[in-house]
Amino acid sequence: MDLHGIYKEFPVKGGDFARAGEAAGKLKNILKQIGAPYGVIKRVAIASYEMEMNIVLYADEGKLCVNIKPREVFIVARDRGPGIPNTEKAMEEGYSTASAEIREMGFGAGMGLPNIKKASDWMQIDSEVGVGTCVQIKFFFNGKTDGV
Amino acid sequence: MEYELNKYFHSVRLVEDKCKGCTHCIRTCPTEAIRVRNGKATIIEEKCIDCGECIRTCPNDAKIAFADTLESIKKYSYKIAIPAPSLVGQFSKKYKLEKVLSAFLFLGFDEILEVGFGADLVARAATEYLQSQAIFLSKPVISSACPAVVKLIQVKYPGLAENILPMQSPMEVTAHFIKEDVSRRLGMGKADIGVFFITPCPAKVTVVKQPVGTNRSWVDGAIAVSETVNNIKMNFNRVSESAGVQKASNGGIGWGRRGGEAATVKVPNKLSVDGIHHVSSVLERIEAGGFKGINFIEAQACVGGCVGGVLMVENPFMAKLKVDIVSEQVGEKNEWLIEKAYKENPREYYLLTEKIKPRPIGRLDADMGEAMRKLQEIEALCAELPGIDCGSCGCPTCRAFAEDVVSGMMMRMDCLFDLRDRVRSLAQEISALAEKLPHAMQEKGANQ
Repeated sequence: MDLHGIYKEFPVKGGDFARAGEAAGKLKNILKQIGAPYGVIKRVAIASYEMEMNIVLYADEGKLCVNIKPREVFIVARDRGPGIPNTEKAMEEGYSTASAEIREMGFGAGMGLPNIKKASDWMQIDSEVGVGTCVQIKFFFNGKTDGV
Repeated sequence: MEYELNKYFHSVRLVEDKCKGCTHCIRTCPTEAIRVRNGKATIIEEKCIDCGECIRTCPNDAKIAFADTLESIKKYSYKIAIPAPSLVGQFSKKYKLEKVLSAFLFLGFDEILEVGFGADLVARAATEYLQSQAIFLSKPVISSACPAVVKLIQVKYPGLAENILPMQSPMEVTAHFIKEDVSRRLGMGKADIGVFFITPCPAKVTVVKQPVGTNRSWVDGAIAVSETVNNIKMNFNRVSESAGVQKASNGGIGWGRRGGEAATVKVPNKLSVDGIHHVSSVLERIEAGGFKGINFIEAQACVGGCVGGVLMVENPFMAKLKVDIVSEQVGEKNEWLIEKAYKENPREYYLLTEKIKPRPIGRLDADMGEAMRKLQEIEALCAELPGIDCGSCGCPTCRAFAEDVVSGMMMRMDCLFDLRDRVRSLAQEISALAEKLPHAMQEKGANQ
């Protein structure tokens, strides 16, 4: 095992509901196999699922890039999509730009990004309208124990 | 008891002589606990959850469920049968529940109490617990009634162990209740009283021998429903209905099939899930933060619930219909009896005495760095494998094969495709060599 740890990329297709959650599921299994603490697995599972769903719901395509080291997990969700005009506002609970169709499917309650923040130990979000969005999060194995 | 005391007791076992080494079972096993080695299936002890899925799929009847026999009840001076609520589903309409229960007297038992009675008690306790503890619980709360599901969570979804409802099973509550009742009523020592569960599935046999979440079982043995059904039918004409033997309510009897448990646990927003693979997919979602709005999940390993158990004889869908009918016929006439029994005992009576501990099987190594190294090796190997999960190597998937290779249990060449490639390149080398002629025999220009 080198210092860079495990690096993996999971492509995610926008609108592909049938396979939504697969990437997050694979990531979860990796963490189980290396014996990460249950609390971390749970938090990563929740956040990565939300990130994957955001790509499926809003973007054309994107990917989850994951770097796992013995003490932390770093996830970057990068997509080509509409972007978020006001990232600060997007972090507020209940704020959503979801279309009626998305809400009809039971998504778009405006809890996605707040939930990702709640589950993770560090978060950064960068977005450019008309280009895409990049959400970065970190989890420390000795990080928070609540937030899920 | 006549079983070896290994680390884990298992009811599900292999009959070597019958096993042809086909790969049906390795694919359906929800925990990938089976490998075919040396032409025979072998069960990996710590991974098996006794769900019985392999018994269902084996075309050669090589997988069996070990259970106690009717013979074994003779060790006790007072014998009590506690049949699962699903039992009644095994009989056609002419077999009235009251008489089916009474028939156990002809099988050598002295007394009968339906586990449906315990289910009625547990339903009350669970409702009270869920209502009073609501804010402290990890949602959704998952029922503890199906032992195969509890074990599935322990080994494959260990982080969800804290979501399991810490409630004794109806079987345990029924056995506890009747043993103490008989001991008091007849002034007998508890060691002289044998309580036998009439079981629809191997997972129940296993938890009787090796309880989970409770330090001891009140049940002394588990006898397969399939062993009793014919006996009951044969003795049926001699049975006279003993009034009052039937004590469960419609709710408790309903636990014999899917939906019955959820119906009696009085909280809003609950799910009933059946079939071990469906249960797995629901647990996957819960791990990713799903089903937050659901308060309670009744999860059963067998399709249709306990009526679908592998130790049953009737078609599960017919059996469910029969349970539906009987539970409606019984109605609420025994409610007063259950209410009285429920009030006799404190809340702790119904609670598990020990925490259900995670028992993860997925970990590649105790050392995380080493586990990460192995994982990378596995992924690299996986990329080279055909990925069609043919099963010829005896592993359920190419991924599982890669895991076995990295952990040293298999060799790379155990993959038929890999072997074929090597044979092919070897054959090419040989034929190239065969073409090669000694210099003395070469014509000009050839074999340069």
